[in-house]
Amino acid sequence: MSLQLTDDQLDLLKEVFNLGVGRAAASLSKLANNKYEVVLSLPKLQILPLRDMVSILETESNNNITCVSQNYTGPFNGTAHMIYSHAASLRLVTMMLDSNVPSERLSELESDALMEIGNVLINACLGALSRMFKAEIETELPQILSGTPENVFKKGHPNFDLPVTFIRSEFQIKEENLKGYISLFLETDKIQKLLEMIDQYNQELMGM
Amino acid sequence: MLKRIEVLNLIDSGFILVNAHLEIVHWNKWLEKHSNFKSEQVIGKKIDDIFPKTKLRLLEIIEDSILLGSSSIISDRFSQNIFPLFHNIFSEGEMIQKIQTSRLKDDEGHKYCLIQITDTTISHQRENFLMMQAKEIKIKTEELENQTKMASLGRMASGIVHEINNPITIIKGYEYTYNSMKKKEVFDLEKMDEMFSKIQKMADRITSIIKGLKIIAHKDTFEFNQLANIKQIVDEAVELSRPKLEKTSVYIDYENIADNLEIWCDPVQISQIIINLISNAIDAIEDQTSPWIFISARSYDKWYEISIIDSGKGIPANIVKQMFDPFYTSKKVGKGTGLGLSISQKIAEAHKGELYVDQKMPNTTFVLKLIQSKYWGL
Repeated sequence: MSLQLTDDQLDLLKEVFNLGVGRAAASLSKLANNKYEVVLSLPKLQILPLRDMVSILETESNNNITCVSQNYTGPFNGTAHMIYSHAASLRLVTMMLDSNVPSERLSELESDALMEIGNVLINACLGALSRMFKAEIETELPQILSGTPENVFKKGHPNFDLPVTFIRSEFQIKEENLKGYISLFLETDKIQKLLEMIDQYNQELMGM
Repeated sequence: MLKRIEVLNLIDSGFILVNAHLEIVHWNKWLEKHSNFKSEQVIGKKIDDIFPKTKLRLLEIIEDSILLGSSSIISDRFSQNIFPLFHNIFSEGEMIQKIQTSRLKDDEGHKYCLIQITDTTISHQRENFLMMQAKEIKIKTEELENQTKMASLGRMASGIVHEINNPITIIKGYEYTYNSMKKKEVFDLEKMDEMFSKIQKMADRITSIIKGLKIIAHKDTFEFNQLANIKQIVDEAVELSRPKLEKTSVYIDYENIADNLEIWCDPVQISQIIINLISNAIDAIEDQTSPWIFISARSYDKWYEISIIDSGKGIPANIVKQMFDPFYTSKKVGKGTGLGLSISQKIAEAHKGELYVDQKMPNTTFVLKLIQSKYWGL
């Protein structure tokens, strides 16, 4: 993909994203009674074919992921995800619920808990974007998907060769050394719109 | 829109519709059944006026839903009773709830938040029941494991008592004989020599039992500083077993072992394992019509596997499970200490190896697995 982001655009995007995940981290700590420290890395932005992104996830997750996803519409459309390897997602839920029964699969109610955690994270990130750009980003209710990265992403994206904008931040629970990702997919025809909004926001900042 | 919203009265879930000022616009029939409020009592009132204890998180979610258009869920895992509702229609039992919020807009573009409440009390109870069962199974399994351990320990204790009591009884017997000699003032020197030599033997037996226990309890150390040849170790072990072999008609074959198999080990200890296995084999098969023992060695991956096979027809699985426990013995009283196999296994483990029974073989087969010298220390 020839689209290159300027340093200014990239910085702002990172700032927005970080603001969102920071807020989500606070909400999550509250949810788990402040027992765990949630650390978020600076977000990374990549524009690449979905196929490549899937293969990145395959290597990083032992080819088995659990993903909470929410479709969103607004000035730019896409899907937001919280992605964990299947094993890590089980540990995340067990830890957050303070349950001492080890599970091999997610029960119905554990799925609900994971969905809630993902929902908090995703809404906080999109909310931050929404507030910064003063634009409404409407989200659908979350859904949970488990399987190989290919199967999980095949659903909403029949064409794996199409480039997607993939913004992701590592989301780590310090005490448990649990690592996962929170990511935003943007449909690429809308990336231009996102960049325009970033530029506009930057200009407003300069003008102030 | 408000007409259309009447359809919510037909659905078996709770629905609250609030406007941008957090005022309740619709309260469906399901909620009337499961709360103390009728629709007309709540319409037009603010949600946190009706429920003063409404959690801040819920209010934030409603606000975000109206302002930003986000949809949210509150599962029943972290906060179970968001609204003070009853599980059944007789106003009894707290309801465990799952909440979903989404934004709606009417034809004029006014924004609302639709709060859907699902009763998950039953599935929660089911989950708790399963969880409790899983916990119980875990506790029971641990109890069972402990009982097995205690049974082992009991067997070991009675073994120690038995093995040490025997020689002590014999020593006491000689003490009695000596005292009666003293009384009569008749000292048979030849007999006294014999007695002291037997006392010595009994003391040695006690010492060897204690040494065995020390190996089992990891208190003994080994010297692994010798590069030794497996064929030589087996030769030596068979030679040391000759006196016992010659009293029986057991035929032994160990000629096929290659002479270039080397291991880092304490050769005395390794030969001790093989002597012990040969001795056990003799005890088990000596009454057969044509008993035999076959010893071979092969290279496998980074290991050498020394197999001691005899003409016996294998060992029942329930005995294999216990036979490496200290003081377990199937031999006649006074014949074995029940320490041999457990000591042998500890020695093998100390050499980073293994000693086990190969139950797939038609004949009784013990396998001693040791690391090849070139892989030692890797």
